[in-house]
Amino acid sequence: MASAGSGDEKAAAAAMITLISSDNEKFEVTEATATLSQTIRHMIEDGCTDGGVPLPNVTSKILARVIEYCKKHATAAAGEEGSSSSFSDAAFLEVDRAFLEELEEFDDAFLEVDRATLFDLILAANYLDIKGLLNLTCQKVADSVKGKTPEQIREMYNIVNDLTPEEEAEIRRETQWAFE
Amino acid sequence: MAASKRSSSRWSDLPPELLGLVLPRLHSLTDRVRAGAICRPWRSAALLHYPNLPPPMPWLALGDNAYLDVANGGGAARKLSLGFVPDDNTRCRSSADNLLFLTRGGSAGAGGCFLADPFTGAVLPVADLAMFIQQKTREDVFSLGYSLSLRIHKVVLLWPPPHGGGSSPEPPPPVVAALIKYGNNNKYKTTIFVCRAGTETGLTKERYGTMSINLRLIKDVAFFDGNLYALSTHDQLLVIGLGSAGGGDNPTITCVKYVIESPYGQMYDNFEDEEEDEMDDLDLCQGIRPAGD
Repeated sequence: MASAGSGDEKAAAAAMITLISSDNEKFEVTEATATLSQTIRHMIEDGCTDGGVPLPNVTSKILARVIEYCKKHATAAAGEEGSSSSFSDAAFLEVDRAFLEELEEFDDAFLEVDRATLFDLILAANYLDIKGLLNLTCQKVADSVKGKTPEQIREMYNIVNDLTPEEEAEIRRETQWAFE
Repeated sequence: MAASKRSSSRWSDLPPELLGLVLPRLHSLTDRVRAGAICRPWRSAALLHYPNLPPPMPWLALGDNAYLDVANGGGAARKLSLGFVPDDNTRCRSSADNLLFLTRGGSAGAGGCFLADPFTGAVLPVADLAMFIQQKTREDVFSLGYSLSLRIHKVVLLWPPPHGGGSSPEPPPPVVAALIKYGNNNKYKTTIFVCRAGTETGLTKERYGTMSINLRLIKDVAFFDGNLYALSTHDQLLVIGLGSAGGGDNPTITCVKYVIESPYGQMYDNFEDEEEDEMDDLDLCQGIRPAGD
């Protein structure tokens, strides 16, 4: 990953985009990687990416993870385009399947993060409008609360129960069955 | 991040639109309800999204008033506490809207028919239907010397239109339409019976003549726009007009008309036995809506 200071190669710069995190760290990525974000795609279409794209809502730590995701999935998207021309070729299908499995493994490993990072990834995916990453992270949250009691969910996500006694009573009255 | 011990993490402030992306991925009704009971922001977000969520996974009725939430791979069956005493033969026969349709005693429900809210336990008896089944069974025994096997195939509900103004008394209970199949040796007849739940009219033979109609080979029924529609195995669609269904009175069947006719000839009035038809490719589907965001 090219970072701040290696911006000498002007030749490659045509297809490269510079992303600037909230803590002012620069990340140079290919256009294919950057445009997985609809937000950045629109910026590129509007021609306002000269001098880098400032992302004031995303820290360098999170942006690095998001770029890692986008790089992998941009390759996947390119791979799909490449193989579609020879779709009937069984060997290509085999390669495709192996690649999809690899992608799935990547996603699983990618989600092995603490709750705070997961939260930041969801917000970043939403802000940058990266549909795949948003789906992936929201699914992770959904899977984590399935079959859990409210107490377990609060503990897992470190949420304090601030419901008033009246609200608690209303919930119990209407949906007692869900808490037995 | 703040070090204070009793303050929530940022998860309590997950933007409502993002919680709205999580909730549809919870397929169990229990999980959805629990997600709405975590903290105030989650609760208000959940209340915002509940009406627009796709339907949750259905429950499996196991008999003996036990229900299994099939989402999340099952788990323990849930026992419901309902506002009546179930006997060994109490069974869930069908569900309509948010209510279970339960019968007690025997295979058909001669010991009582009930609509039950699985969540509050509230029970609404459907006394006329139970009485209709009792009388039907008695007639069969009288004329044939034995009773035909009788089964309530499906129950659908018509709710009264919402009343304007808060001062009006309790809205009347729903009209119940039951598709009843009875027969033996793979031959069956179908009858549609309508009545109002929660009331008892002291059913007589003359009276139930206006509340039931024998139609051949009906396989499915559904309410639409205040009328009852019936689909036959020969792909005919009929509309069954109901008198006084909108008010609080007891409904009567006033007319039957074809919406879609078939070349097979007249369907109604006097029915004859037919072999059980295996054509099972058509059903009336309700509650279908596009999967929106």
